[in-house]
Parts: sequence; C-alpha cells; structure tokens
Amino acid sequence: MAGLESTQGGRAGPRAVAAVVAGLAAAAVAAPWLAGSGLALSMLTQVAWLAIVLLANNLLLGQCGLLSFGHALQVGAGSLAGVAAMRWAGPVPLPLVPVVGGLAALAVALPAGFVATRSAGTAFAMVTLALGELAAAFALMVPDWFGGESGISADRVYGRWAGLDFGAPLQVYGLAVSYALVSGWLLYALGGTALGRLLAAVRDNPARAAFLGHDPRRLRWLAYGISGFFAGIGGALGAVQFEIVSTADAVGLARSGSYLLFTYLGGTAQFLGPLLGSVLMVLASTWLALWSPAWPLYLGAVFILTVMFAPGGLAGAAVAAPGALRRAGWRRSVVLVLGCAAAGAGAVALVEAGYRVRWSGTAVSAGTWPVATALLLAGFALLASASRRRRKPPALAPPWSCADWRNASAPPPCCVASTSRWPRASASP
Amino acid sequence: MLRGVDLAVAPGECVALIGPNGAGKSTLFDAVSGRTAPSAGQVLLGGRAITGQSPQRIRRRGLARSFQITQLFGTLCARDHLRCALAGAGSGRSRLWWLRPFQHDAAAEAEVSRLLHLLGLDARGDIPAARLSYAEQRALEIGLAFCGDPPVVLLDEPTAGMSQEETRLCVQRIRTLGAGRALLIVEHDMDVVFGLADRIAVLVQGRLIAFGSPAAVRADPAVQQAYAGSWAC
Amino acid sequence: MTASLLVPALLNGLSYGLLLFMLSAGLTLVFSLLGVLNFAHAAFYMLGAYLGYGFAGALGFWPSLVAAPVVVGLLGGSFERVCLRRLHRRGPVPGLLATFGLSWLVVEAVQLFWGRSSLPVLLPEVLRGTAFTVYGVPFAASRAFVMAVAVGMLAAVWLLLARSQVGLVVRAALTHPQMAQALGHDVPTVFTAVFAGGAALAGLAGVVGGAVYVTEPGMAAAVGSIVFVVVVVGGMGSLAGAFVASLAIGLLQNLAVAFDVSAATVLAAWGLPAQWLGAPAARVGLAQVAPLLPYLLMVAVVVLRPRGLLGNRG
Repeated sequence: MAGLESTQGGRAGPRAVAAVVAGLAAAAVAAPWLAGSGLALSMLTQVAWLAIVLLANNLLLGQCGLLSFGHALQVGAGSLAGVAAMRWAGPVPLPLVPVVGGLAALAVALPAGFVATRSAGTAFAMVTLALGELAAAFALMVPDWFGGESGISADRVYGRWAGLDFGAPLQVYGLAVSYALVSGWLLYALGGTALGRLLAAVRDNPARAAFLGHDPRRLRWLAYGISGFFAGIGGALGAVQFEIVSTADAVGLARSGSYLLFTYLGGTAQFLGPLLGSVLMVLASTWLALWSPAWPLYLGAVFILTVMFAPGGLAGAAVAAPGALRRAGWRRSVVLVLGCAAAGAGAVALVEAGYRVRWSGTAVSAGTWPVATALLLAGFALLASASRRRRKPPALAPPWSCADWRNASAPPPCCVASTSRWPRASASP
Repeated sequence: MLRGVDLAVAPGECVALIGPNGAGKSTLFDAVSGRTAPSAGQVLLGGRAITGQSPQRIRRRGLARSFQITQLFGTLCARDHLRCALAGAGSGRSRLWWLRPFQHDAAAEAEVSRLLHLLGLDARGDIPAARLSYAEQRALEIGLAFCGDPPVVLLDEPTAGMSQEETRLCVQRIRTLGAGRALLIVEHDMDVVFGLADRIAVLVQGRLIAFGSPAAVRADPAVQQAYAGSWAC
Repeated sequence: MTASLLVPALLNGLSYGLLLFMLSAGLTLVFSLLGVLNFAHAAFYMLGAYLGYGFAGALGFWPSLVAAPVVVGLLGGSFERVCLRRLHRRGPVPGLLATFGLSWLVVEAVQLFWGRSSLPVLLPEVLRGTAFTVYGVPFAASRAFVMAVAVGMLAAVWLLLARSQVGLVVRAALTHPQMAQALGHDVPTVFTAVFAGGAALAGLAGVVGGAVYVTEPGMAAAVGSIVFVVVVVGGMGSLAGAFVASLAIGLLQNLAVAFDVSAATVLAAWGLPAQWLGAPAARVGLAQVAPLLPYLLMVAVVVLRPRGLLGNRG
C-alpha cells in the first residue's frame, strides 16, 4: 500500500493511518529546515492550508460525486471572517481564528448548499458557479464592507498566546500545519463513519439510496456544509498568512476553477490526492506563473490530458503505475515516456517562441521553429507507435463514473450495469 | 399505462403479479413505490395514503422494493449495503449516530451478519458490489428489500436471469425472509409463481383481468385467452 | 415611469436578451443532444469575436460573419473528435471537465495571438448609425442588427432540426443512439457535427457581440457565468426555456438600469427613515444591483422550481 488510502472503500487500518499521520507530521517538521529560504517557507505554509481547502473540495468531488464550481465561496467567506476576526472582532485568539473562519464559512455554506443541492450533477455545478459569481458581484457592489478591488487587510500580530505572537513565518507555518493535520484526520475519519458510507452510496446510486429510505438531497446538503466548514478553516489560515483578502477575487469562478483543477490533478480517488494537488497548485502559482505568461494554457492542456488519460489524477497514476508498467512492458513504457516528453517539449517550445516573437520582440533563433516542430512530430510518432488500438476500460476511472446524472429522477445504471457500457466491440474508434 | 387497477395485499400474504410484457407491472410498482406519481387513484399502506410521496418517505412508512435491473452501490461492499439499508429503515435513533462508524452499533451489525448468512454472502460480504457475480448481486438486491423488517415488500422479477439452482435458492430465501410480510412479486417464471403465491393477479394491457387463488386464475378463460397457452398448466 | 424611459429600456433589454439567447442556444442544443455541458462555450464566443476582428480586417465585415463561425465550428468539431468522443462513455462529467480545461486553453491562446488589450472592431457604415428613433431616443442600428441575427439564427436552427432530414437523424441519435447507428447513421459523426454546430453558433454570437459591444480578453469571463445562469433558469436542455430566460434576464437588467431607484428612495416612499439600512446599503441603487439580478433570479427559480422554467428533468 502506497500509504494513500482510497475514498472508494478500501480503508486502511488504524495503524497504517497513524503511521501516515506520523510520517506527514515528521515531514512537516523537517521541511522548513530543508527548505531554507523565506519564499520556500511561505510556499510550504500555502501548501498546508491549501491542502485543507482541496481536501474539503474532494469531500464533495471524490466522496460525494458533486462537482462544485463554487468552492471558493466558502473559502473566501472563511478568509473574510479571518480578516474580520483579526481586525475588528476584539480579542479572538489568533490560534482560534481559523475556527471562526470555518464557522463563518459554514454559515454561508448552509444556505448556499440548500439552494445548490436542489439539483444534482451538471445543474448543481452550474448553480454553485452562479452562487460564487453572485457573491463576487455583491462584494464589488459594496466596497465599504468588502474593501472593493483592493481588499481588506489586517495585522495578525495583536497578542501573545503561549508565548507565540505569530509574527514569524515559522509560527504561522506551525499553525497551518497543525490545522492541516487535524482537519485531514477528521476528514479521513468521516469517510469511515456511517455518514461517509451513506455519502458514497448517494454518489454511486442516488435513486437506490432514496428507495432505501435516505434523502439524497439532505445528505448532499450535509456534505456541502461539512466541506464548507473545512474550506473556511483553510481560507482563514490563508488570511492569517497574507493578512489581506480581496473578497471579489477570493470567491469568484476563477478561484473555484483553480481549486477544482488542482483537486482533480492531485487525484480524487485517493484520500491524499488533494495534498498532491495543493503542492502542484503552489508550484504552479509561484514557479510556473513566473516562468511563462502562457501558464493557463499549459494548465488547461495538462488538465485535458489528465481527464482523458489519467482520470485518477497524479495520485491515481502513482498507485496504478507499477501495475500499468508491468502490463505495458519496459520498452513500450520508455517509448511512451519519451514520446510524451518530446511532444511536450516541442509544444512548449512553440508556444514560448510564439509569445516571445509576438509580444516581447525578442529575437528567436531561426532554428527554434523547425527543431520545436520536429520534436512535436517525433513525440506524436512515438506515442502513436506505442499506443494500443485495443479498447479496454480505463483502469483509473474515478468513482463517480458509475452515476448517470442526466436524469436524477430515474435510477441511474449502477456500476455493474455500466460495465456493459465499456466498449467491447464499439463502432466508434 | 394503467387503467383501473384495484389491488389489495393482506399482511402475511404473497400476491404474484403476472402478465405479458408491457402489461404495466413495472409501472404499477413505480406508482406504488414512489418512483412516479399516479395521475389518478390512491395507494394505501396500512390504511394511510402514500400516493405520490417520495420514495424515501414511503420506505420509512414501511414499503420496500427491489428492482428488476440490479441497482447497487458499485464501490460499497455487501455488508455496507445492508448497513445503509438498515440505517435508512430508521431505527428511531437520531441522525447523530451517523458520525460513528457502523461497527459501533452491535445490534445492527448482528442483524447484518444474519442477513448476509441468509443471502449466502458470508464470505463475500466485504468485496465491492461491482465485483460480485450476477447471482450474488441479485441476492443482495433482494436482501436490501427485506432489510429493516418492512411490513410490505415489492419484488420486481427477483429470479430474472437465474439458473434453475439459483432460482430454487432464491425462492427459499424469499420464503424465509418474507414470512409474515405482505409480498407483491412480479414474476415470469410460473413455477416460482405457483410455488410462492397465495393469490395471483393478472395484468394485461394495463387492466387487471383476474385476481384470485392460483387454481381459480389457472381456470379463468380470460387469462387463458390472454396467455394463449404460453405456459403449461 | 415615462414611456420615453420604458420603451428604449425594453428595446435594449430585448437586444441584449437576444444576444444572450444566441449564446445560450448553442450551449443548450449541445447539452440536450450530447448530455455534455460545454464549459468552453464562452471561450468559443470570445474566439469568434477575435476571429471576426481578424477576418474583418482581411475580408471585410460581412464575409467575416460567415468565416469566423465556420472556423470556430471546425475547431470545436476537431476537439470533439479528438477528445470528447472517448469521454462520452464515461458519463457527462468527464466531458464537462475536459471543456473546462479547454476554456483555460482557448482563452489564453486567443490572448497569445491577439494580445491582452481590447480590440477596436469597426462596424460597417450601415450599422453605425441609428436604426430608428423611439420617443425621441435613438435606437442604435447595431443593436437592431443583433436582434435580426438572433432571430434569423433561431429560425434557421429550428428549421434545420424540426424540418430537415439532418434534424431527424440528430433527434433519432439522441434518443436511440444504438438503433440509429444500426440503421446506418454514423452516430459519432453526428455528435461531432452537433458539437461543431454549437461552437459555430457561439462563434457567430461572438462576431456580432464583439463588434457591437466589446472585444477584450475579459469577455469570456464576463458572459460565461450569465450563460450558465440562463441555461439553469430556462431548464437544462430546453431551447424554449433558454429563450424565455435570456429575454427575462436581458429585460430585467436593462429595466433595472433604466429605473435606478435606491433602497433609500424606496424606504422614503414608504415613509421610513433611510438610516435603518446603514449608509452604504441605502445608497445602493437598482442600477448598481443590476449585475446581481440574474443570479438572484436563478436562486429563486432553483429553490421554487428546480428543473427550471421549462425544463423537463428533475
């Protein structure tokens, strides 16, 4: 076992869980010393609270099968509450500010969830999107309350608790990591409770769950609230770290989309997938964004490729890699990897050269174009030669592929029936 | 489409609903169990009207059903299926119990184990349902309907697609689990029908053309005409 | 509430609503026929606007009205063929996610080619002036043009789907894909064609909208969420519902902007002191709240009637 437990039902025993938690805690303690610079410490802090945010997102996505484009609403509510708590709410001890953020986000998530969970599937996704945008538009409308486009700032150093004033980044990192470990453990435990099983049931076959006496809407609402609570904790920690929140940005679709993208990229079927996602998110926003102005393009392309070829995300791919490697054989795997690398390098080179030529006026050596194109074509050739034409079920299908959401009032085909949908002799190539 | 179907099932009685394809048997089940709302008429459960209520409300009132096409939770094991079904039947406990793992409820766990044994799934209880064999899935499907002691159970073609031996086992299970309950079973297999049913209702093109004891139905000329000798008497 | 305020507001609302409908029609058609909500629809709109600008420079405005949608349609069709086709069997969600990724890609690619500032699209002479004057207020010819294109597009689509052979095949492929395929129709190609058609409609809306309103990098984001609101309010998959919802939202927003009353005014009319709401809230007028109205409408519809105004699914 790779130490990454599945949300699908294969749960690790308490010893394994304790080992993983201890391992993560040890890594968290060691990381600042290994990291060195202040920037690295800031990134690690971000990874910690973003992990809470993305784990909360995965409660909806992986555990409940709910695609939410409005997660940032709860995160932003938590951030806003965090800033408000630090600035106005009197002596709320800083270590408790995340809890305040969580409660505020819960207060937002309950009515938002009530509206959103009236629908399921695609409609749910659209409603959550619109709720986030509603909040963003509202925030811009009343700048006196929300700080307008420049946002509201606060100062986190306003007292001492157990000798810590949280001015030093290391102390903020410690706070974030502590909350992350506790939140992660709670969310994992939730998966093992009766509620966790019921949420999985509603994900797999909501109509059958109804015929067993459960109300799918109410269960989804409950999950939305719990997810919102933890999202708010993460958001408040972000507010503590950066001491500023721009509400309109914090709750809008762009932010929600990022959370969704990185939760999926990290992996939705493995519990710790979102942790990988938060690492990717921080790396993308610091290194990738600095390195290339075309970063949304790359992220979009990587996302499409992940959806198509690695639906389990990075974590899922890591778990399935040994088996896939064995099945494919060394030579094919090497060809595939080389092909991906070549095609990727060629495409990136073309895009970057295009940007430079078009906008920064920098001269690009004449050899770049043919070399990049050649790389791209070579990569495709390698991939084509290595790819199988035989159809087989994707080994990394996410858990909710079982549910058909188009008609929520009719029993969707369950996982069993859907195996007959996996093509054996399909006319479509 | 159903036209003027008037059917009553007494407690402890087993009524088989038969009829050619397209007669409206599944439509009747859907209308009764809350999947669709009937445009006219009433559904009474123990004297109280449950017409047009949601499936979960009807289940809590005590009417459970199984499906012709197996409807399971693919990633959950059989044990979890039964636990969820028990939880849904409503034991009177507050919902806060859901924050504890299922294993903490000893009485429910005992009941789940008993049901697994009855369904022949002891050894297979912890495997995800998607990986069970067809017969095991059908057994689980039927078991879900009996979970939580509902007084009324609707079974939609419980032996569909089963071999002789599997059918025999299935009928035995239905007899054991269904003892003392009101059962309404849709079936095409006449051996099963005559083996289980106290009364038979015959539905043809949405109309109830006969309702009585097996012998009476067998002798009924209208029924014989409808089936035109398609089953051996 | 004079007529000179009301009628222009109604006309503006109608033209904006029809533009919204042009946008949401393609999205609704693709969703109802393929089950996939095309998250990149607003990105196709943006692509159409930018391509329209490019083609207008090279070929002139009127040819660009045809060229841009065709190119967008081809690009959409190829995306469906390469990516979405293998995702159909996994349900509606992977397709939605793939188009979500596509939206990021397309929006950035457009800015790679055309830059990050807004582009000056020149309307031809005939569309620059006033179409007619109503109650002394001129109604722009460009807005009238938007309405004409929208109505024409609606008629063409309806004719194609309801009356033609192609429409028959498409409708058959929707409800009975295996049967349609067994009868010899190439269902996967039909799906590709439908997706390409939806993209082309978005592109057409983009050429028109970009010329009449604005062509800038933020246009996809600005219009994207409203289009989804239209689809939810109208009922997922209902074209008539999208029509009603687009007009409702267009009229609602324009009427709100025209009749700018603030909360303080309303309170005063009822004889209550404005201080009750606090200074910032009291100052907010209906015109300022106008951007919120579509979302509030959606909340109301979802709570009261979850399947939308004219939707037929739960």
